[in-house]
Amino acid sequence: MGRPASGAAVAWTTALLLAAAACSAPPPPAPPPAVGAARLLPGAGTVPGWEPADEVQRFTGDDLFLFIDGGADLFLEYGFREVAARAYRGPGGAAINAEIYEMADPGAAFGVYSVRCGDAGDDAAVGSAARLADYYLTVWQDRYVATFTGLSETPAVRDGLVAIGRAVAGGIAGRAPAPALATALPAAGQRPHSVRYIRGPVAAANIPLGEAVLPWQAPEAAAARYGGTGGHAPATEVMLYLLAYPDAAAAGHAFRRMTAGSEAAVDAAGGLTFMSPQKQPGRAERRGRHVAVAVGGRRRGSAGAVGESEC
Amino acid sequence: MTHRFDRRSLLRRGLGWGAGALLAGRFSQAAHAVAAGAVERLTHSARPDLAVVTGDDYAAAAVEAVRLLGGMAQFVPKGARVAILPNAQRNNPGVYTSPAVVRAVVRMCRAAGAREVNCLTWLPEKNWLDTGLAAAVREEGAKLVLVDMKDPARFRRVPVPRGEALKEAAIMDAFFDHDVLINLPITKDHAGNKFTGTLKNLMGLNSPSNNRTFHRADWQTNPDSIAHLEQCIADLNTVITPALCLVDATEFIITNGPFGPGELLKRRQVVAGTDRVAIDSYCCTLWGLKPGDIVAIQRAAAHGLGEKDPGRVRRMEKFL
Repeated sequence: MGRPASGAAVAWTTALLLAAAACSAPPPPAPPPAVGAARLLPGAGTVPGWEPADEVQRFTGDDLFLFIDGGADLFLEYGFREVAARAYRGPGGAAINAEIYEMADPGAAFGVYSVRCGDAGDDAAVGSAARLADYYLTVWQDRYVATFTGLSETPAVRDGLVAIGRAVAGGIAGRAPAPALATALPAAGQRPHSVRYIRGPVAAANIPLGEAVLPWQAPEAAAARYGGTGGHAPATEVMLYLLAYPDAAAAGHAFRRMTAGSEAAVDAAGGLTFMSPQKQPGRAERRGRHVAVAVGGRRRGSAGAVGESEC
Repeated sequence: MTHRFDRRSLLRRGLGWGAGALLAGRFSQAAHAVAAGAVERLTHSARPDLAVVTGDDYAAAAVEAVRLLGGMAQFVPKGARVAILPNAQRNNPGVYTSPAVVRAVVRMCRAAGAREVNCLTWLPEKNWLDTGLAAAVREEGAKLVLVDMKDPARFRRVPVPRGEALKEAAIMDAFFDHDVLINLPITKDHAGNKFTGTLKNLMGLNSPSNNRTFHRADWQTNPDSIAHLEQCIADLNTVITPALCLVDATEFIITNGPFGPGELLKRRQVVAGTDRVAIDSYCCTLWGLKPGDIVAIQRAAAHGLGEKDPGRVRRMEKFL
């Protein structure tokens, strides 16, 4: 006999599964052919005040490890094609490093963008999406994700980041939408800048409470943070994950495998309650090829949690 | 009793033990010889296991951290050939070891009577030029030894007898020409592992192709792959024992590691010691991580490489 289901937990996961219906829409049209990341790097005289300071570096496939040893895994996990990098010099000798990553498809580029941006920075009007943090700008458009890094924090450098970023984005023909799974996450209660799009364990391990969904081994997932009070004590935040499998059978197999876990239990509503590696309560529910997972919500000094009690 | 380095005798003994034993024996003997003396003196002078110095002058912080441990002469005997291992991964802010810290270390080594100080790397020279580390090394009278990462002859195959996941390493050949290793990582975020410090920095001595074996073949789908990587890092540390570790915790990224750009945290600290587990256990807390969540730290502790319980580590902190 199953445990009683928490009203909050059921609400979260049901809302997610209803939202997942949007994912059954036909896939977006194929993006325009890749032009090569190197061709997008601005040449001399292209960006006022900023000139190339060295030769273009270019790495393809597994050679990415030669460029970002220790950091290549994330890109390769999503599907990486090539990176082109170049340094620029601007006013007063200020320096900016530009790196443009060409990914296998727009979803892969969006995924890297979502993970690398994290919560930092402010939205910027560059490309399909961009975030300007203290000294760097991250841009996503179509199958490209680019980072522009100022080696100092001055207004001139920040202006330069945006100017070079716009020059790069202007050279990209396509403007594919974000993956349907990511846009299916409910907007109500969603924390700003918290959406992540995941295609493997490296990305999952790099987002809050991501360890909770690693064992599910879903080939595709989207996540966002909900609730919480912000400020100094985000006491009741919940991380919602929408996992997608190739078909209902694969999702069912994953659900049954997780049900057999020692710390999991099936509740009265047919959902799965469990404790995450960080000792946060969670609940999962399957419908078709999708699994909705809610993790977290433990209040400080109380038992209030997504898998345990009403909010 | 004085502990005198005799590289030839150590080499002879090492050859009898096999390459892995040579590597572990030679460096651990050197380090243990120093460490044994240090422990003995510690009981009399209350020297710490871990020195943490905070200040705006990062070179001065490095000097003070080593002074609190008893001075560089504790770790670098006169006439020693010293290998140093800073991190020059990229010139993005908070990603590479502070040149000021490296300069200070080279100066201290030379002042202690080191015969030579060599900075070993298989990274391209561009990384060292862009970060300012090439200038720091060369201007202080040390040498930047660039090893061709694609030439297998520049790396020596080394068995890892205690390795649970890593059975054989491929350490750069130039490393074996030195008596002392000083490990100079920057602590920072790392994709997958969450953290990098003294333990992971030693991958900088191992060949990139061998480092790639730290990933399982099915790493893109296997959730255990990260644990495997972490075990390999701990295993590698069983055959390389730095005489001293100085961690740059002055300005470092806490997201988008290891190459950034990412959120910068400026703790203005230099952390020094010989216990890699204790050092990394401390450093990861600088941005809210728990040592228990960092698999490499736990696996290294299980190997007996250091103390993971902060309550058993004597830490001395100083503000400049």
